[in-house]
Amino acid sequence: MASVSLDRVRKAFPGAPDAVHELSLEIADGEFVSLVGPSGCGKSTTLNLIAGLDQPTSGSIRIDGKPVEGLEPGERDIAMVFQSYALYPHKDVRGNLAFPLEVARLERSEIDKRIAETAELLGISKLLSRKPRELSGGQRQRVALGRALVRKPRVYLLDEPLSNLDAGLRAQMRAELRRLHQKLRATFIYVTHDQAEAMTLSDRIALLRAGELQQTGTPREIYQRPANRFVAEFFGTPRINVVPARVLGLEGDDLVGIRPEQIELLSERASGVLEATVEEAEMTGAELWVTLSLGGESMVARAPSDFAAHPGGRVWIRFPADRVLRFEQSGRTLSQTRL
Amino acid sequence: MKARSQAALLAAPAMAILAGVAVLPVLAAIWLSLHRSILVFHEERFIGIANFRFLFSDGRFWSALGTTAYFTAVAVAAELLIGLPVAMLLQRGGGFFRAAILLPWAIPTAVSARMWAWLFNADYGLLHRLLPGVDWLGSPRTALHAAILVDVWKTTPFVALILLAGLSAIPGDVVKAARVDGARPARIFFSITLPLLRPAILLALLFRSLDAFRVFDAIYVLTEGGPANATETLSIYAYKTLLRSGDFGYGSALSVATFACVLGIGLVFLRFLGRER
Amino acid sequence: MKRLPVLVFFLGPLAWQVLTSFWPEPELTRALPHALTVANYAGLGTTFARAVLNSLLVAAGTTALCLAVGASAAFAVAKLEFRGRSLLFGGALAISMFPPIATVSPLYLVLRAAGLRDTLAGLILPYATFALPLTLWLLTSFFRDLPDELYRAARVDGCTPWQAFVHVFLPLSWPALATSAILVFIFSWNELLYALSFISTPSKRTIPVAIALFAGEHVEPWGQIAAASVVATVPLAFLTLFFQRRIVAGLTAGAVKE
Ligand SMILES: Nc1ncnc2c1ncn2[C@@H]1O[C@H](COP(=O)(O)OP(=O)(O)O)[C@@H](O)[C@H]1O
Ligand SMILES: [Mg+2]
Repeated sequence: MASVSLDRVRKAFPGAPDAVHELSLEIADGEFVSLVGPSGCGKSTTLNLIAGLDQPTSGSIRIDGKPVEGLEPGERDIAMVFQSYALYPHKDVRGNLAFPLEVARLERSEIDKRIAETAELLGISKLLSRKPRELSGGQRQRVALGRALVRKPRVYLLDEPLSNLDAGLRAQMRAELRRLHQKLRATFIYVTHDQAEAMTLSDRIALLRAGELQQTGTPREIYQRPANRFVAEFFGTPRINVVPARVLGLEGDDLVGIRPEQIELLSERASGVLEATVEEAEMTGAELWVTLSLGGESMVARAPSDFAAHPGGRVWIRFPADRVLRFEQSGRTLSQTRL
Repeated sequence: MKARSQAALLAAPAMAILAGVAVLPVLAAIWLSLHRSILVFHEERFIGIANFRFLFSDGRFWSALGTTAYFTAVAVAAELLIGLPVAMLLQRGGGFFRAAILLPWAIPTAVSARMWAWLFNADYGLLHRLLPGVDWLGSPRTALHAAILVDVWKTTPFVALILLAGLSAIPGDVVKAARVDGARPARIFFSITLPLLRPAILLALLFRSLDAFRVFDAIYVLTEGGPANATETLSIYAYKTLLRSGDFGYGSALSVATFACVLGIGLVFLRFLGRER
Repeated sequence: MKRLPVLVFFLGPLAWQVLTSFWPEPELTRALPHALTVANYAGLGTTFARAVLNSLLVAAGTTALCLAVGASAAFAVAKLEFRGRSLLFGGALAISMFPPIATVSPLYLVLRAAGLRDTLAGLILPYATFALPLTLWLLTSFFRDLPDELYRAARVDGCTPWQAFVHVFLPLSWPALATSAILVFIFSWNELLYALSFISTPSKRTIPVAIALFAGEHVEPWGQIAAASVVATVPLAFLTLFFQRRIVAGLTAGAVKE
C-alpha cells in the first residue's frame, strides 16, 4: 500500500493551455480519492502522469514517498482500469488476466493461483476461456477490474471505469467497488465526471476545472462548504440556485447560493417568508422539483411529491439563513455568511 | 525516456531505408547530373549546369516531354471517363465481377504489353483481323495511342475502385432526399453524385497523373520508344541514355528533369486536394 | 446486361492470350486453330522456370523485408512519440511520388560498388524502398484505428513499447499485414525498370524482364510468349480471386474520409 503525492505538477501539450496546471495533491495510503470535473478538465491526463504513461512538464510525483520520475509504468507498482476496458481482443479472459503477470515473469503456478483467486473474487471463474467479444459489457468491466487486481498493486488508477455501463449495472458495480476497496485497503484514485458517483464512492474528492484544482475535501465538506461558485454548482442535483442577494431579501450586491433542498415551500403565507410564482413542476417520483419565479429570477426547490404546485400558482418559501452561500465577484465563497 | 528511445529504434530501420535508398539516391542523381560521366570511358568530371544547358536546347528532350504530357493527359482522361461508369456498375455488387475487373490491374505491365503487342500484330493480330489496314505499332501516328490503350486497359480498374470508394461514401439518404424532391436520375448524377465525388476524382487524378507521367514498362515492351521516337517518353529517353549509351551525367539530368516535372504535378494536385479538405 | 461490354473489354484480351498459348505455332496464321496443344508451355524450358523462381524469391524477400521494417515503424508512427515521427510519415508519402527512373543511376553505381548489381538480393532493397510508403500508409492507418487505451493498458501491465508491439498489436494486425503483403507482392512481381537496369545475366531475370526480352531465333514466338504470360498471370489471378476484398480495401484505403 502506498501514498501518492503530487507536487506542483504541470502538463502542457504543445499549442494548448496547460492540461494540468500546478496540481498539488496528497493522497494517503489506503484512501479512496476521486478526481472529478467536466470533460476535458485534465483528469485522465493526471492519471496518466501518475501511471507514467505521460511525463509531467514540471513538478514531481511521489509514490510511497519516493519520486517516480524515470520509472516505466510497469515499474511503479500501479494498475489501471480504462474507460473502454482496453481488454486484449486476441486473448481470452485467462490470457488477459495472466498478461501482466507474464510480463513480470512470475512463476506459472503463482499466475494460475492468482487468476483463480481473482476470478473467484469477481465471479468470473466460468468465463476464463471466453474472448472479450463474447462477453457482455458488465462482464468485460469485471475482467478489466480483474486484470488490475491480479497484480496486487499498491495503487489502483481507475479512469471512468463505470461510464460505459447502463444505470442498473453501474449502481451494482459502485457497491462492489466500495466493497473491494474496503477489503483490499489499497489506494484508489478514481476518475469520473459524474458528481454523484464521486460522492457515493469517495473518502475524499478533488475537483478540477480546466486543469486547475478547485477544492479537495470529503464529500460532505465539498457539498456543504464549496470553495467557490463552480464547486457549488458542480455538485448536487438539481443544481444550486445562484441569484443576486436582494432576491432572497439579503443585503449586498453579491451573488448568493441556496441548495434546492434547503428551500421550504409553503402553500400559505407565514411570517418571514417570500412570495414566489410557480413556473413549472417536475415530478421525479420521490419528490417534486418546482421551478419558481422570484424577483425576476428562476429558482428550483425540492418538495414532497404530494405538494400541490400548479404553473402560475402562488407559493411561499422559507430557508435557513445559515445555509446561504455568498460568492465574491471572483466566484470565491465568502468564508462566513452574513445576513 | 527509455520508452521514447525505443520508439525511435522501432522506426529507425524504415527511416534508414527510405533515407538511404530513396532520398540519398535522388540527391546523388542531382549531383551526378552536374557531371560529365560516361561509364565505359571511366570519365567523371564536374561540369556544373552544362547538362541542363544542353537539355534546354535538346529537341529530343522537348519531344519526349511533349509525348509524356500527351500520354498522361489522354490516358488519365480516358481512364476517368471509362472508370466512372465502371464504378457505378461495380456499386451494384458482384464479387466475381469485381475480381474480373481487378485482374488487368494485377498482372505485370510487361505481360499485358506483350499481350497487346500480339493483339496489335500487323500480320495476324486479333485487332488487325477485326480492323484491317491499321498498323497499330508500326505507324508513328497510332503507336502512342496504342500505348495509351494498353494503359487504359490496365489502370481503369484502379480508377474505378477509387471512384467506387467515393461513391460508397455518399450517404444514401442524400440521394433519397433528392429523389423525394423530384430530381430525375440525370439531374441527381450531375447535381449530387458528381459534386460529392470531387475528392475521390481529384485523388484518382493525382495518383494516375503521377503514375502515367513516369510511364516506362508498357512503352518499353510495345515499341521501345519507336517508331521514329514517336513514343519516346521521358523515362524511356532517360533509360536509354543511362543504360544504352552509358551516359550517366546527361541521363541523370534527364531523370532529374522528370523528377522535377512529377514534383510539380504533385504539388499542384496537393494544393487542390488541400483546398478540398 | 450492361456488364457484358465491360467484361469483354477487360477479359477479352486475356482470353485471346490464353487461346493463343494453346495454339500450335505453325497455325498462328490461320483464323482459328485446328487443334490445341501444350507444346508452347513445354517449350518454355528451364530459363523461364528460373525466371518464375527468381520472381518468387524477389517478391517473397521484398514482402518479408517490407513488412518487418514497415510494421514496427507504422506502430511507432501511430502509437508512440519520437522525434522525426511526422518527418517519417510525410517523407514516406513524398517518396511514393518519386519516379523510379530518378534513382536508377545512383542505385546502379552503388549496387555495382557493393557487388550487388546483377544479383536478386540487389533488387530486394530498392523494391522494398518503393513499396514501403504504401505499407506504412496501410499499417499506420490500421494501428491508428486500434484504441490508444490498448497501448496504455499494455504499458501499465509492464510492457516496454517493443513488448506492447509484439504481444498486443502484432497479433491483432494480421488483416492489415495480409493486405500489405499481397499488394507488396504484386508490386514486386510486376516491377520492370529496376530489374531491367540492374540484371544482365539471363538466368537471373525476373518474369517481367524475361517476358519483355522474350525473343525467338527468327520470328517472335507468339505462342510461347502467350504461354509465358499465362504462367505469369495465374498466381495473380488466384490472388485477386481469393483476396479481392483485401486488395480493394488496401488500394482505396484513405481514398475517402471516414
Ligand atoms: N495527447 C494529447 N495531446 C494534446 N492534447 C491533449 C492530449 N491529451 C489530452 N489533451 C488535452 O488535455 C486536456 C485534458 O484532457 P483529459 O485529461 O483527457 O480530460 P478529461 O478530464 O476529460 O479526462 C484536454 O483539453 C485535451 O484536449
Ligand atoms: Mg478522460
